[in-house]
Amino acid sequence: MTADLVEADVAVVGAGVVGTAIALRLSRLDLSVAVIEARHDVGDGTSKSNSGITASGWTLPSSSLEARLVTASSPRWEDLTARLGVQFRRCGMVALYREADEARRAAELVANAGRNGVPAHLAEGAELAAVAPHASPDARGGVVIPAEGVIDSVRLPVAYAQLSARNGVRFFLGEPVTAAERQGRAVTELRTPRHRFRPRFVVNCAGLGADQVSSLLGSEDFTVGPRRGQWLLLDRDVGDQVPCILTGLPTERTHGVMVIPTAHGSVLLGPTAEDIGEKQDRATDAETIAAVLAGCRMLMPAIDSSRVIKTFAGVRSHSVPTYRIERSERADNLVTVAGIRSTGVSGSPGIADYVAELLADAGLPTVEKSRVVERLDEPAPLRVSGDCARSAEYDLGRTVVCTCEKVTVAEIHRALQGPVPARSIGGIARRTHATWGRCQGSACLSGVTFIASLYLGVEAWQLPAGEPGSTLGVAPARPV
Amino acid sequence: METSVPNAGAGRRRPGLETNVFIAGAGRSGLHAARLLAGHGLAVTLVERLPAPGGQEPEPDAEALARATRVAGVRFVLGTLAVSLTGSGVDTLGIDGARTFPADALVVATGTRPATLAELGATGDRCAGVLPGSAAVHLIESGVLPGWRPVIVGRGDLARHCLSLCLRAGARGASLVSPPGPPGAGVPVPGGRGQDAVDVYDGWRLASVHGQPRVGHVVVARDGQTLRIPADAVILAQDRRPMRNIENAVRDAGVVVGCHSSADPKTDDDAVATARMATERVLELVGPAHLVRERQSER
Repeated sequence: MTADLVEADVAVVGAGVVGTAIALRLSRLDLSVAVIEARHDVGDGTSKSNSGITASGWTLPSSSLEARLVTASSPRWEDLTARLGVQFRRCGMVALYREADEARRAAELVANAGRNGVPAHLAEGAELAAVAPHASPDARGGVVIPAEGVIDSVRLPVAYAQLSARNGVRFFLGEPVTAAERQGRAVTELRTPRHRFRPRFVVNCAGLGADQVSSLLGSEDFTVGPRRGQWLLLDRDVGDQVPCILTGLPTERTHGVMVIPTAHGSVLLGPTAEDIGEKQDRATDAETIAAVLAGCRMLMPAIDSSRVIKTFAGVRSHSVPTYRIERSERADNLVTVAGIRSTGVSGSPGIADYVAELLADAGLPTVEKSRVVERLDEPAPLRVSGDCARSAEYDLGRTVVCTCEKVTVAEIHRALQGPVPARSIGGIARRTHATWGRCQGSACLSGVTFIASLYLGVEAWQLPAGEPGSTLGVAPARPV
Repeated sequence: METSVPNAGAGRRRPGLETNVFIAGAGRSGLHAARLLAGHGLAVTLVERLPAPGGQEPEPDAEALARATRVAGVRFVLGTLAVSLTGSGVDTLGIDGARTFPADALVVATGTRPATLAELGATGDRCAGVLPGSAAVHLIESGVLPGWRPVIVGRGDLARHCLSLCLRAGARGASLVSPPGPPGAGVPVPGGRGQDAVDVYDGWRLASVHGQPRVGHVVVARDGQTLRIPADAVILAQDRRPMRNIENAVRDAGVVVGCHSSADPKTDDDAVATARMATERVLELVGPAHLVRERQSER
């Protein structure tokens, strides 16, 4: 069988938050762009379980590329999220310390923030209590960083991809790159089981798979290591107890555990930082979950463990050297973006601009399109707007399927249509939050399944939860 | 699909003297609470998400109970969900559109659901094939066989029902993991076909689930011991936890009164007892004037 040929000015390998941000940036240019993703949906690898924080870059080593790109991104979130229809709140962060000798380290961090152009100050006593009323009374003081924010980081790559698609970017999902061809110092062809791509330029931003892709493309050797983080998610009904992010003083390796108000009103506790062997190992264990809870209670004693609705693990990628965003020395038309660790969401707008610059350096023509769609005009979900009257304007908006997260039939219908539609239960959840509420699908999983089964044209038992093979059932049931 | 009944109180009482009670959920507990509260002279609106009263799995007497509730003067609003409690009442969304109902008290009688993995304290992989028992019932009835060899977690009616459905739907066997329960609560092994193929783990709890992309085994624990049980599906059918999903009314506070019967198996007596407790709390909430009417109505 001959695979279909796709010509493109740029092939972006990887549709995580970085790949989709790059796609959106390139979609402003008069170019053809193809995004190739191994998994069945965008944002389904490292991007699907992270802190949801838009970092200000206050702790990053000043003069590092990471600091430059994160600080360039941070002020842009209000505008960007309004255009993408993604929930965002600049809630601020307080990094607490308990011991007198930590005050010096806190002052050093404030100075570092200053070098990065990020406002930060020390607070103690009544001032600390005013900013962080939920903080442990044992905290001696804290560094206040008002620019830190929280975002619906699961929705973000979907929105980047949808707006890119509106501007002509083509997405090829469920297509792992399995082979590549080169001519001299250029990558000329990428092959997946279904297509042959003939790109003029290639961006490798394949997250945990970036090392394998780099090797396929004959580019630099490096290793991407998976680092697992375990999390607990608390009910939305305790969200108002957490006005800002709480953390301890970060070390060079990690922020430690945090108490994070999510953009959609719940509370996230975590993460751990465990270097693991297996890239797909997203298992949680009771001992670690208990340790995360204990660590978070040092920051905020009033955490009620009866409000935990879900525990889960995410895997982020780090490489040695970390934060590798560069033109390949072995292929003139290749840009590598790898080992982005924890700041993929936070740096994504800046990374996208920087990658566009690197591609221009490599010879990519940068003519702006005459017309660009600037925003995704999707109505706000009922969960966010609380506007029943607005939802009732359409018949499909009158039936709520997921009662915990207030997801209507209309919202599920939109998730299954339009650019970059959902192809699984997980894909619907990523776009709407259906099945992600406090009852974890007890009430709505069957309803979501039946709607998805109609749209996707597969029997309910065959409907995937996520990747192929993750079907809801194993066979048709005998009539009961 | 609002159904007005001739003796419904709304509109007949003089404005200002009327006390509005909003009840979410027309299952057994909600119907009993509505009937009792209407009997105390309160203006009761009963809103049900589904198109008919009786709850998720209506029992044979549901219709008679609904009729008695209507006769007591309760206003039914069907096919409508209570979305949120706001300063002006309860916002609802339903087949008739969006409406706001006044609520001097909000009774949350939205039924129960099984415990989630997090509530069971179970960890492990995120894998396909793990289903809440309530969803599993609907899915099996609609043609989904969850697994050839499912593990069913629970000790009660829902676990029994799921086990029986799985075996009838084509499962080759099943494991029943029943955590320690109240004294006298039996392990629900169904009789008849398939019984031999059911392994019972009485007194064990679900510790973790494992497998990618589909569940391959679970680990159960008892007294520091653990066991590994092969499985291609896990059905969570343990406990009856309140299903709380009205925004700003997830916990009892202010005008919010929970009304969730948790007896297993369900009984009408327990639903009546639950409804009575909720009724008493509503009467405390809306003031002593109604206590006088209560005594009158009892005579």
